[in-house]
Amino acid sequence: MKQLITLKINGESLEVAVEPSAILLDILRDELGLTGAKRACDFGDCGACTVLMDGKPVLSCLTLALDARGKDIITVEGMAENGHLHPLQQAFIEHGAIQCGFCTPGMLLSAKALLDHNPLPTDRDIREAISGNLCRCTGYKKIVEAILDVAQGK
Amino acid sequence: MTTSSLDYLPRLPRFDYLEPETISESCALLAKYGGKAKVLAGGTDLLVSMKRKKQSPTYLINLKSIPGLDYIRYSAKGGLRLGALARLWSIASSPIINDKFRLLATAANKIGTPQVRNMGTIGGNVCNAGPSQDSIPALLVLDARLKLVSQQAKRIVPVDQFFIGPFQTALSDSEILTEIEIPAPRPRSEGCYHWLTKKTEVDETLVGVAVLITPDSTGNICEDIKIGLCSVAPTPIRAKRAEVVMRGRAIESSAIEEAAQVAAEETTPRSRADYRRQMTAVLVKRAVNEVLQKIRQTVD
Amino acid sequence: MSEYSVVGKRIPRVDGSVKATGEAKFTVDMALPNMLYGKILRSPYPHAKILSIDTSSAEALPGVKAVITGRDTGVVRFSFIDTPRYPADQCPLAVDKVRFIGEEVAAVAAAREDIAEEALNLIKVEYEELPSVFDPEEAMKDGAPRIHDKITPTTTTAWQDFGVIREARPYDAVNNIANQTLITVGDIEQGFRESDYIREDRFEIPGTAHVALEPHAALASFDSSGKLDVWLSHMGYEHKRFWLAKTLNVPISKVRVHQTYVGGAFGGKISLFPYEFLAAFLSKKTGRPVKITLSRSEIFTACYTSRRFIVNIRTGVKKDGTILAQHVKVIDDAGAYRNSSPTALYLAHVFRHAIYNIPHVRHEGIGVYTNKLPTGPKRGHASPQMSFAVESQMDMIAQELGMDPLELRLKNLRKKGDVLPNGDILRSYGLPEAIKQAAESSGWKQKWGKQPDKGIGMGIGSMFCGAHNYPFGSAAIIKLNPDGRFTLFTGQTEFGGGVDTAMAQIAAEELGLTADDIIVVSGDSELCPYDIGNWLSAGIFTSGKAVQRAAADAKRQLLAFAAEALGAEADSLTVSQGCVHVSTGSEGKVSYADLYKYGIQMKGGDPIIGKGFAKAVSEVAFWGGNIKGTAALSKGSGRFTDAYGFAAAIAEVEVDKDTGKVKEINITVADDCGTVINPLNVEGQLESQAAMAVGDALFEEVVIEQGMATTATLADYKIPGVRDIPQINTISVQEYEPSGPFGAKEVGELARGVVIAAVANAICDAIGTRVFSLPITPEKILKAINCIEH
Repeated sequence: MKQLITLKINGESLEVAVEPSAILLDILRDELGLTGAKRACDFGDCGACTVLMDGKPVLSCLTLALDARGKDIITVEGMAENGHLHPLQQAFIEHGAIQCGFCTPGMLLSAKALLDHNPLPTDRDIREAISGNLCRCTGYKKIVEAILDVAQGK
Repeated sequence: MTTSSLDYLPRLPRFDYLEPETISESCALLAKYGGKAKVLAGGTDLLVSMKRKKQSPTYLINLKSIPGLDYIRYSAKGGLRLGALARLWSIASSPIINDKFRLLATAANKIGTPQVRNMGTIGGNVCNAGPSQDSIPALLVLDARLKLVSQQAKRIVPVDQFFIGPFQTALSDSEILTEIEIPAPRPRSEGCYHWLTKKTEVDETLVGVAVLITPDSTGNICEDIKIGLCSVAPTPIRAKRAEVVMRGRAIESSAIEEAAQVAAEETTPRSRADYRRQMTAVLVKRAVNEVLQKIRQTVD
Repeated sequence: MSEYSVVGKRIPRVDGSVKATGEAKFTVDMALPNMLYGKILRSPYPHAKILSIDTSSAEALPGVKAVITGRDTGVVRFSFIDTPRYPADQCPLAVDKVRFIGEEVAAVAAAREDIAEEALNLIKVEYEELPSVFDPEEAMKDGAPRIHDKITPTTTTAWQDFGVIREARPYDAVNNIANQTLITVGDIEQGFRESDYIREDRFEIPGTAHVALEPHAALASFDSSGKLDVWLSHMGYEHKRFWLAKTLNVPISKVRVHQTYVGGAFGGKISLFPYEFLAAFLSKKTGRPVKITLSRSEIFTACYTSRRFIVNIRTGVKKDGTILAQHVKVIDDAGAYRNSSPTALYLAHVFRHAIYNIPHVRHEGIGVYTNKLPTGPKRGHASPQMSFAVESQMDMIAQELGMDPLELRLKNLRKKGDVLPNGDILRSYGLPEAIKQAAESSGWKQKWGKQPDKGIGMGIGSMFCGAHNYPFGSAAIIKLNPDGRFTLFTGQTEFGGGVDTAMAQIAAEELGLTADDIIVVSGDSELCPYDIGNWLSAGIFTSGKAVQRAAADAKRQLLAFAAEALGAEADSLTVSQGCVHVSTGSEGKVSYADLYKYGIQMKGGDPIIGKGFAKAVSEVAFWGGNIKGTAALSKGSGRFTDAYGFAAAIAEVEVDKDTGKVKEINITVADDCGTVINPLNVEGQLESQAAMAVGDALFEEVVIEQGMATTATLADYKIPGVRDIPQINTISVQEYEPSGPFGAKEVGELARGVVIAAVANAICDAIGTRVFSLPITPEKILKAINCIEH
């Protein structure tokens, strides 16, 4: 039995009808057209579905839509502001930290959460922060460099 | 062997979602629905299990809708009290836990990934009762006690009596774990948590060893020792025979070597058995030696 | 190469912003109006007859629009290799029997995914289990269960369709042998007779998974005119288009593969998969678009892994380290279907033959059917397997002879200008330089043999740049827009490596523009001309040349118009900054935007459209029954490729001898990819492959027990995470290749194999003994150490 709920996504309140068993990732992608968060492994092992919930990275593939009520959800679509890319997005592009782009949304959000809470992370902090986001394309080196650059204010 | 094509397809079965606002309300719901209901905390274990078709509860009871279950409190008299819904990240980063129960913070920080630690709770971790769960050896050596609440009663169960089998605990269908109590640390106690993972750095634990030693005032004799192991038996266990080897003895290499071997013999690993047994000995030795270093530093 | 203004520059990728914002739509993100969802019923048995399939209950489920079985799709066969000698052996749905757990048996299209899944449960299949065989050496023995009956092609084979005029013959897989290769050079017996020292070793390499983050997916839509539109997660549309047309019996010109963003491939998405055909079959049957997205578990258990090799190498050398003879026997455990086995067994030799100058060689390859998940190409396709085996043995030989492994390798290298036994010419040969720079950068001389607590090891390799495989070449079209920018149409498929960006750079360099001035339209089979695809190491080499030539053609047209417009001689003109300039004197320039107008106004409406093309291997061809110099996979004769890339990797490790865990790895990769078109892309490829190789070397393996792939999730099958990656140092050795665009070669699939070899050699150096199989797990390390101690 579907119920109408309100979700706050990227600062906007959106109404959507969901079953109790509805997964946040599916609602974002299939109901709200926000396909940035990706379905890649279904069991929470890869981080491609990462979104921010009240500032913290969580796995939307293991989050019930109902449990997202009353939370501030940020997806990758909410990172750019007024048509300007977020510094992390810009840095990823400039550093070559994006190849196929599938892990990128989740990776960016984990990085954003890190810098929002810890503006001066060490290399180790950065690796720890993205340790739950798998990438098969880049080997991670340029991703870490991009995040470090933004942290160092370049 | 896969018998159904649906084993490939991870769809969450349907359920009704109940959102009690108090513990007693949730206990009432559990009593009402019995084996057809499961409580949901962070979801990182239960939802995976449901997607894998290992369980299909008709009702999920949301514990997150009950306010005030996620506390971390400490007093010298009462010790450490963890609300069952305290998230793993809060335990890993808690100043008081890092100060007084560091091995628990280390273990919590090992679990999963940052995302999993943001979602997962200590209560969920304990009640999932997987043989390889990192928090449990730490709780074993810290003599944790679990507060279980049902509609009728409350009871306290020592953590080393809680685990019955893989993913099976002493928790009945109508009970909820609400709190974990850990006594204040004994003077001069030091501990640590060592592990090896199955393959990569961020991975399920292959062998986990928690050690807590209370030395005498000279720092040379082992007054008490607790050794907790995970992923080497159907449940996480205390290596009690190994503890006996060291208790009352000087903390030196031949005692450590013997204890390490005995601990290995207490394990009953199912897969990669020889390697796990060998590594139990290696890690017990390393963990005890690290604790010894810490003791020496404090004494000096 | 500072003489270039765009080529060689760190240009941010052209598709960076859409990927960074989440706008980029991958096939898994696509939806069409009226779309249905397809799901596949798979075999639970490794080998069984299908006695009956009852789909009636499934068809009756509300929301189900179609259910198909082998009876609907028929005996229409496809394969990666479909030649007169080796006709295709695989059907979109099992017809009379199943040959591996996970094989496709039926498919459903329904209004919702969950309905489609429920319908699978309602399909009743009656099986009669047959004895199975899982070990390739067992499968070859007399009396082993026979997996394939004699195959008689029901249509022409693909290579006949491509123009090879030969009769297709029925193929009888006696003793489960799927295919064989024999390549000989010189006289192997003589070579061994003259050797001072001979050693023979056996190596085993399991299948590994590609783990592209985007799941395999296909969206197919037939319209009422019989046109088929598809969106695929793939690596090259010609290959897919050809087979969709043939299997669905649709004219190829009516099959459109649309451009999509592709979330990684690594060789795992170029084989033909049943799910791609099934989406199309279901669409045809329902008259609606049908999308099939595989779950991660389906990908792990039913999508082809990398090839499982058993490699036996017998090598004879002289006392001074000169290699005289090498006898290689490869058993390729193909699994239930042949797929790319003939190719891989051929590549297993030709990927090596440009490296060491070995006068006497015998290379035997045998593909064997077993009742397991079939295998296919993965980044390097036989190069990683062979690199591990050959390079491991090189180190063992060096040790026996008391030589520095680096010196042993240097001693046996080929030279620039060498003509290989099959006729390929090594016009560029940066391998010695790559070895030298890798050694200098990693401190090889200071470290090898001098660090008791660490291990250091090296691996070297080579890789082709395209081959004479359908569609044999690439073309490109470039057209001038009113604002002076160009739109480039290239059939290349971008799946992360940066090929779109590189093409823009190549065109821009040729035309005196910036990369931003080139709008790239790629990967759409209707808009773009034919293209060799992004899977034969030919992306830059072949398609890049086509692009360069198209741009050069457009430039000629620009200069011709400009000569008239400026009243100057064409050869006194140059291009830069979007204008044609008179190079002598200071006066006279005209912008491309104005030349666009000139063509319309003054040349009768003539647009500037450039056309360029390049064949992968220029001197080979077949036409009218004559075959000129093309490679024969089973014999090794004939031209393979026009250029080779080279790489050398050095790895440094520490091994914890109590736990067997490998730690503190440093990896240096020096790669000769010719001219670097974009350093960001090249570094990205090298870093990527180094990371992937760590997984291959230490822990990746698709574990199959009794035919069941037990590693079915990303929790069971681990790939390297950020904390598993060591320090990676990459070096580009730019040895200009005269037949490449601006001198460029390949870079996407060589480093993986050489890094695997380097890491393996480093570990064995650290522990003082050899591990003969991958992955080199802690248990194997401890067991090897134990063996020395006893």
